[in-house]
Amino acid sequence: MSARFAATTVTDEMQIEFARLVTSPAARARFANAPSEEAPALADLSSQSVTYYANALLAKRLHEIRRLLPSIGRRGDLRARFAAHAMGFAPGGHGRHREDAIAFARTLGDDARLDRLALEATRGDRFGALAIAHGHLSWWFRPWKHARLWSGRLAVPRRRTGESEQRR
Amino acid sequence: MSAGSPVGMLFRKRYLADHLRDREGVDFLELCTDHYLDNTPSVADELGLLVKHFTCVPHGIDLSLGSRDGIVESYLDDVLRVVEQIRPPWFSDHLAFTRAGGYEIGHLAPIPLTRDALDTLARNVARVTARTRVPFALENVAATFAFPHAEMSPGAFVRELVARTGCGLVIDVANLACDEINLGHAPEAFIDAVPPEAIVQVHLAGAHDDGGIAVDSHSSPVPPRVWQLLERVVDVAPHAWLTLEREEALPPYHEIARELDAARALAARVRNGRVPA
Repeated sequence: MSARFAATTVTDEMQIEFARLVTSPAARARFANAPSEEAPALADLSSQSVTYYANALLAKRLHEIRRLLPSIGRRGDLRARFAAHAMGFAPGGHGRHREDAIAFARTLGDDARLDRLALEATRGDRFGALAIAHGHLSWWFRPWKHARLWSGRLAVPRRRTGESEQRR
Repeated sequence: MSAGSPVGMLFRKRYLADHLRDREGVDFLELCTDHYLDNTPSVADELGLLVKHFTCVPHGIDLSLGSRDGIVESYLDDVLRVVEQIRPPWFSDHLAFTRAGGYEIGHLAPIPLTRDALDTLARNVARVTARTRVPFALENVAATFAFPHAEMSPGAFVRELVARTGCGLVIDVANLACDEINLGHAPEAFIDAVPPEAIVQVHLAGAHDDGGIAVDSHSSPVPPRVWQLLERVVDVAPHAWLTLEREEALPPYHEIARELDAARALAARVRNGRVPA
């Protein structure tokens, strides 16, 4: 391999590996433990640098979401919930903040719906409920009034998210 | 517009009424291009109003000129549509990449200072400039880290980019101040290295400290170090347009006006102190 070709490969790989790391918490965790295995071109970069950038990126996204969703934005600390949302969703291009906000609002809406259904199912006169949210079919079932309530959830096939979705 | 360095600011909707009331307060407005890509009636009305009353300069954030994947043509189409509507003296974006290998970062990432990255940048800048006669300029970004394997200094990198592409420069002195703290880069060395004739615009802003890391949040008044660097840039590029950026913790307009006046006074002082050629 010529030195020129090697430099070319390294530059390209550095950018791709960096983009992958800052958009994937799982990849960042692996990078922190084994940098030369997870992202060889960035092995000389500290994992703290990558993590700091990724966290700043999340903070910027959340800031935009608070601006675009004023009702939700008035709520308290959304960082943990937003980080969970961001693990599987990284919109790009023009209008990405709007798409991010819409998806996050949908996520919070699913949270609220699941909590409400679970709570309603505890009423002894209800036979149960079904909901599809967060990639799962959640169910609550009571064979007759005031009988014991059974509940569970099953993963349902859905469009892939996360790393594979971000590569286009 | 004033005889010396025009002084303006990044447009924030909150100050629209103030700008309309105090037309002389700004010589121009910098518009975030991306806010005007949606061709909805309200967006078009706002852009029309601004263009009618002010000289406007569009400044974009997502051309991702450092991406080997190249420019996203549909995005460039949209940017150029806005540029056509504004008819500015130039338009600009950043020395950065926001996507790579299909991953969308969604924010500006610094470019590795390698010859290969320079080739990519030059190719992408040429792609942009081939599509329009409006001059195109690039802004240095602030970074909290530097990619390994650097082959040249930031100033040499930018100097060579200008030599190869003929692009203009937007020097963000606040970002240089951040890089000084975060990376140990010398802002003066950067300013001295880049061709002064390419500098068309200067950004000044305040940052905030996050546990020893300087964050280019544009959230505070312009600090002394940034004024100091501005003076140095104005000295070498006396006709560059000076742009105040404030995006967070927006103060009352009179505080903004005070900083605009301070920029104007600084430019006049530097100009008057220059020995005629």
